[in-house]
Amino acid sequence: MITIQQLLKTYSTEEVETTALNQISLQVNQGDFMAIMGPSGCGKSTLLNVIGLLDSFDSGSYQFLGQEMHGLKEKDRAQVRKENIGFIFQNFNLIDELNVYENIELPLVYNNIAKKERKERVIAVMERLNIAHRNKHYPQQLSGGQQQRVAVARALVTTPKIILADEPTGNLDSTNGNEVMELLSELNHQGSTILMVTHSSYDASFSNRIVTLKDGNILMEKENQRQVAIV
Amino acid sequence: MIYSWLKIFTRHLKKSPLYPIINTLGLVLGVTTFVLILLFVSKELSYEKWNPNLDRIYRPIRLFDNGEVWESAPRIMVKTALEQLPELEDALLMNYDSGILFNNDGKKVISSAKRTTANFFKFFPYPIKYGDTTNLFKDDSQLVLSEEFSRELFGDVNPVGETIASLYRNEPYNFTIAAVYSTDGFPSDEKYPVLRLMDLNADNNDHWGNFNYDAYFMLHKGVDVAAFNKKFDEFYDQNTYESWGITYEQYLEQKEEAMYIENLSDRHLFGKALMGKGANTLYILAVFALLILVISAINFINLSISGATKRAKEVAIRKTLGTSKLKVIAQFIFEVALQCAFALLVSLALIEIVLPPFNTLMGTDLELLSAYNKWWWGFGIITILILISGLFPGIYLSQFNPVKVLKGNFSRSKSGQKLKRGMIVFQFCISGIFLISAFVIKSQLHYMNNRDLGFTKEQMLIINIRNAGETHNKLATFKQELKKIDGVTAVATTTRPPGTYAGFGSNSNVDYQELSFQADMHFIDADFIPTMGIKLNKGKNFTKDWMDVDTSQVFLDNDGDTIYANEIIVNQKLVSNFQFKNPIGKQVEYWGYKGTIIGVVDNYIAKGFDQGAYPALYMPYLKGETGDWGKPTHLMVRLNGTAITETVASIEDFWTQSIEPRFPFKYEFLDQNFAKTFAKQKRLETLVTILSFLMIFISLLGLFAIASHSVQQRYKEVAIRKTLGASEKTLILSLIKEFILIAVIALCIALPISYLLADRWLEDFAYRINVPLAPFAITMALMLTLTLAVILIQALKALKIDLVAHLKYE
Repeated sequence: MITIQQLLKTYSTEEVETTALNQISLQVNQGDFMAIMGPSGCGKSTLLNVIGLLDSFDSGSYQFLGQEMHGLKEKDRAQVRKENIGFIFQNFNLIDELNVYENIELPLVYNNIAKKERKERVIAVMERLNIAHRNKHYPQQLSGGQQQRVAVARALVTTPKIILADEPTGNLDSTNGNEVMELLSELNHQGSTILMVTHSSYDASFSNRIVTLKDGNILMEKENQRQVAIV
Repeated sequence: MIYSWLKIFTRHLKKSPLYPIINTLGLVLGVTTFVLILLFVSKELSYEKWNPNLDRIYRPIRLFDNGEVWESAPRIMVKTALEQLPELEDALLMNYDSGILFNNDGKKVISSAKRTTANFFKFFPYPIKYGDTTNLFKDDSQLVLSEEFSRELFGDVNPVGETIASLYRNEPYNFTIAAVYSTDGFPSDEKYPVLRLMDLNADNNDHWGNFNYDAYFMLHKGVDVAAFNKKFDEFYDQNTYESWGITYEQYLEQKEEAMYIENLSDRHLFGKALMGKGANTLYILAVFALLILVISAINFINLSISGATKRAKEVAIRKTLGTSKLKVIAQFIFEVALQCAFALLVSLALIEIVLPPFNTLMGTDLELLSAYNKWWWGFGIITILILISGLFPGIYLSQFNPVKVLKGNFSRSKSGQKLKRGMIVFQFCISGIFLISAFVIKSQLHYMNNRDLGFTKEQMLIINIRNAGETHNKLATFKQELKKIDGVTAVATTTRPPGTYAGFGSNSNVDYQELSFQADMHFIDADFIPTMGIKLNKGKNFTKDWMDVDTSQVFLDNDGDTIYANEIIVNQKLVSNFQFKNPIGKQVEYWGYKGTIIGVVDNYIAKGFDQGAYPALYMPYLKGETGDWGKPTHLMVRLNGTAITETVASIEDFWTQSIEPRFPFKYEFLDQNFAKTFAKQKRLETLVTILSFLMIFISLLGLFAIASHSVQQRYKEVAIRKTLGASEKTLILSLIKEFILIAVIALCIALPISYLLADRWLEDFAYRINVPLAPFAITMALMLTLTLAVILIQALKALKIDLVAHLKYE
């Protein structure tokens, strides 16, 4: 699904140039649940943002579904993004002015889905994630766990080819965090490809591949057999 | 503490100078405009206020039941009142000598002289600059000059004791300058370039119907004015009824007017003659001034709050470290005060710069520092503004929970946004009203400039005849000679060119059987009506320029007085007032004449657009009457429009060499003279146009800053929407629709209010346009476009934000 080769990403300030991703090569396959780990500043979020087409890179190759992403215009990147990628963020990134239903519906609106179909799909995903009874609530009226569920629902509603999760439990307590991880795990079992950045080895344990980064390089990549199911 | 505040303030200023600059600029413009208008309003309200006897000085006036007001009085009445009414301490009488030619070693200046009783300076105690106050008005060969006129005639020297050769009504005089008085800084309608002792032995000054004198009474202290008014009216009636040859009861039955005294302080703006409209422009300006200040204040508050929200973290840290709410508020007031102080300094400098052009525009001589003005009120208001502007952000920020702020939840807070949007709606609404008003005034002025006036005002030269008593002898000759000059197509004379209110033979009652109406009286020659292009609706024009009193047919009227037969032309309004079906041949009586109507002219607009058609009577000049009475006073020369300068030069040569060699030649174009009748409206239009664009500019400055702040607050939302696939078009729409909605709401409020205001303003014109729709459409289009432009700049900036940064952080 994703093939990255020799990918280089640097940040420049007036005084220093920092290499965030140093000639990284990585393969993500259909149905993978990959966790990207590493210390702060190792480049894991940058990698996720590059894969999510939120950020560009300097050189190398990034192929998504066989199509080269390097040099793509913003408009085309937006198109790829909205058709194929679902995002889950640490801080949920819900729009405060929209209620649960409207937040989930938003990507469908941008994908020009007809109103009737939008409604069916939003209701279906809300029921699947058990938040249908909260559909009129605004983000501020929900707990962190509930907000993240809404964010997951919003990521799922377009049935994306891949879900990118950036520390999805970072703002949650352990109970809510566990709930979200189980949800992601379940989605993966149902066929979703998930790429998750995390600090937590516990969260990473839900994945089937763990990639560890350090200083912009891949330090280690290993298959993972889930060992912890219940805390 | 203050040092720490100052340090933080200057560092913030250095880091992001745009908002403070916009904020200060808006305030500078607002304060400057406010103070300028306040100066004007103060000056207008200060007329006569300097007079120490103000509360005791009253002017006798005559009020008619039909609303007409005569602001003059008969000399005999004033004299008798002083003798018979114990409430009066003193009385001042004035009339004037028009057009005295002063000749100081070849420097010729024409000025009228105010003839006054010797107590002028008791009523108007202007300081005497040169001369001795105890020795003034000994006889009528002495003159008292105003400082300004003295400077014009003699330069910057003390002229007291100088003798000046003069010419008045073709008679030489040698006047001695007795004193020079200062009028600068003493706003008054009673100041004159030349004062001269009144001739108390003049003819006809003991007639109770001779309302040709300006008069003032000085009442004793404590007089009940209401009771005195009643007594004064009775006094007049008692003294006049006999001259009508009727009983007192009959007189009272027919009475259609009353005598009244009006305080000097009302004269300038609130006099009865001004029909309650004298202060209208002033009220409008005062409201404008206040509104422009409010708009600037709203900007200031809005921007201060917006700027302050960026400081939430700093405030939270201060609060965590133990600072009190009060100190937070004090810090913001301190910063706002610094900005305001700076804005005030810049404003003061700006006022000094724009005061001269403002004076030219308004026709005033305002000064920033003078006794009359109350601009320090303005600074009081501005100080309150500083407090409010500082209090708002201070209180706003001091209310927030530091824990929340430090966690980064502050900038997403929506509190205060409704208020801010409400204030923008208010600003836009006011700006819209201003802009529409400016356009409506412009439309009415355009109409006034272009409407068919009933005569042709273009390419017509008006030349004042300085020596009417003599020059009239050469009337036929000079008309003939002037016509021969290249570029002259027609020549006529009159006592009353359109656009000139006063003139010989101003008003009279015209009687026909039981009916009597006031009419404007014009002496004209036979060329006047065709030269002016006035339409003759019925009958014929005069065939001769003169009516000869000595050879005219004589009648006796009902009272047995002699009256002369005369031929006259009247206007359509007079015909309709008398309801003449066949006016030609009808005989009406006026002054000492029985006039047979030989022609009827169309009503033409002679006095400006605020007065409707008024009855008018035209008659030939009077041969046989003495002095200037009934003689041509204005020469009207129609030019063909080519080589105007050369033609005027030829006319001047001819006039100064052959007709009036001793007088300076002065001319004017009729269209310019007529334009004076709406100079006030023209002034208002210029001012309102400037103010409206200024207001829009200030409002847009505010909008720019608020929009930029508001859009910045939505960067995260933009990032989320963009991540979820929103197109640029969708994003721009979502960002601008709020502000477009604000503009639309503001316009929805502004349009009906503007319509009502415009309609009300236009009601004052007898000749007016209907409220035009174009100004509304233009204003809507202009304001929406400008709003869109300002917001688009911000929205396009928002599209270029760094997605990752805004998704991750608040």
